[in-house]
Amino acid sequence: MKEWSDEELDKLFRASAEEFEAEYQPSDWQSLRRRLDEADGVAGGGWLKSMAPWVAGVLLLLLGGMGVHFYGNEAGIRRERAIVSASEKGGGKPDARTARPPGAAFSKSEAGETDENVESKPQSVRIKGKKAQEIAAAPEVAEKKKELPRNPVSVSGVRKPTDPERRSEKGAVLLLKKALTRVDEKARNTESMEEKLSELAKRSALRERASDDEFRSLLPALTKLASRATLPMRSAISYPAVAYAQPAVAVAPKPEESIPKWSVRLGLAPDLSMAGTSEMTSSIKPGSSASLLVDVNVRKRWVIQTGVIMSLKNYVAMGGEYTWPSEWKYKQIQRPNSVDGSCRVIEIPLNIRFDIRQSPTSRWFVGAGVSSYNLLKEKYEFNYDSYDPKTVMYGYSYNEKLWAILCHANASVGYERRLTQRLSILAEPYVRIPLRKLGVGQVNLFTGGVWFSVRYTPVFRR
Amino acid sequence: MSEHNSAAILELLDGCLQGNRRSQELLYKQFYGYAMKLCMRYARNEEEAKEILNDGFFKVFTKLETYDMKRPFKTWMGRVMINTALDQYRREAKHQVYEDIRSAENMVVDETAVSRITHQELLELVQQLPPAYRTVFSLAVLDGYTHEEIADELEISVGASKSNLSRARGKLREMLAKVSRQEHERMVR
Repeated sequence: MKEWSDEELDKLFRASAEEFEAEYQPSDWQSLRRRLDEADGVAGGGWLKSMAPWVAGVLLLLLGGMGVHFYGNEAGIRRERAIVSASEKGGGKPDARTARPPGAAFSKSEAGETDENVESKPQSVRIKGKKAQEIAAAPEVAEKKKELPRNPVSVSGVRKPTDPERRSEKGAVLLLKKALTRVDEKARNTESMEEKLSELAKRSALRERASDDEFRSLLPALTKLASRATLPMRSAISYPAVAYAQPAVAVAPKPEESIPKWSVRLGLAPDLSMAGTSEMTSSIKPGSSASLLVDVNVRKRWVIQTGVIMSLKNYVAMGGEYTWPSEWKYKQIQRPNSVDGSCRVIEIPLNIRFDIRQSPTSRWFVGAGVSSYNLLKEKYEFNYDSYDPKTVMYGYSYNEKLWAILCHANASVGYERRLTQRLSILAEPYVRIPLRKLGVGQVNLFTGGVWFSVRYTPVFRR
Repeated sequence: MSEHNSAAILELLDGCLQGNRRSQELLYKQFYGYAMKLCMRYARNEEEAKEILNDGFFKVFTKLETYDMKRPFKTWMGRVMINTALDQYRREAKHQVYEDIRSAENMVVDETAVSRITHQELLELVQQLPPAYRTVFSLAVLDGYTHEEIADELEISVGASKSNLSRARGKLREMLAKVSRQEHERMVR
């Protein structure tokens, strides 16, 4: 009979682990094979799934590109057709805004048809005159114009908003009537013609449609007008007068200097807490903190800051750094070698900040102050170097929500970068130095971290 | 050719890289015993060990391209198995309740009786440990991890790792004493 030492015990179990032999089970392979087969199927689907957004994007780009390409070509063709149609069917000068053709047509319209130019370029006038003569000689041409597509731009399947008057089956007639209303007074030197033209102008303005009879009655006048049409179109068109009053030059008021009286900031930070400086205390995972703070400007560079910080603090305390509660004194003789602690804390800081360097877009600052903690939940796990069967305390949690007033001193330095007039981002390394011991275990809890915050600053004016 | 891996293993690995089921089956069969030996240390029973084993082999087959052929395959595969077992432990650790050790009245062990306990039975004692103790004991004693490595793997402090190992040993001594007493009584009869 003997009590086994650690080494003997380890050797015994190490040998048993090494000697263990497991017999191959084909059913285990079958199970894995099914899983691999499924994964292969899913893998294909997964590949497709992962590629789907890219494929969709490429397809959309292709479709969009094709659409732009074909639509662009078609629109160009339609414009060219409209120009040719207008010039062939006596529409006169095409509307430069909607039917400016590339190449020759463009240069023609850009040429500037002044009186002098008319002499050198009488083509458009000649066309107009010729067409007018054709209209006069063959009334059926006017009838033919009725058969124009009611909405030429929709022929290829794409509709474009057009002049509603052009949608009329008498669109060509109306266009002609409009053109006539713009003819210079010199071109309308007979009384009867003036009367009829003014009447037509009125009707045109009222968007009335001229009947075929009216059109026929106008034909002699039009013929006469066309034969006299030696005036350039530019001079024949009367433009509406635009009244423009020069505004009084107002001196813009100088913007008042904005004074941010207060601001709020939301922040997140890792919480690196420790109860000592030994190597072991750094082996625990970090906690986290979130803050909602209010900054109140008391002077140009001085700010008072307060708010709420929620933290989860994880730390390790060595045996000597943790105070064994007196009420447990007689529970067990053995004391823990170390304690893994964690606690949820609501922190109320009261800090003063001083801007050591300010610029319109950034500032450097330092801060200092004190904090009070409300310990929401304390949790301790006790670690022992050796096993004692009489040891009963392996862990403990405490939910008394104790307040520790002004228990920590704060210090920080930070940099703020302004994004907009009201928003800025901050990075602020900080430390919390214990002024008094904390919690059931009465540990001196040091905390460090870096605040990453967003600040909102309302703008006030004097 | 790698000095650590035989030509046959390299050929199987090549087939596995191409997704050849036959190669995968042969490799699985070849290392089944070794992998199962590792998994049994971290599982609470054989069924769970098989689950870890197949999870581990699934990773081996699907991530074989990450394996460096110049290194021993057996070591790499063993590492994958242990990591898979630790993943399983981390998942379950979230749902574990606090388990304490009841103190034993008598921890004296009969050596003769212990010598009659099979390796299988001893391994079962390890499996009966609470998960936190079992994992630390297996990592530290059976697979030779340091406390720093264990603390890093299990996201606990070094102190907690040492403490868990100490408790695991204490618990094993208790169980060993109990088993040896039963064995002694059986021998006396």
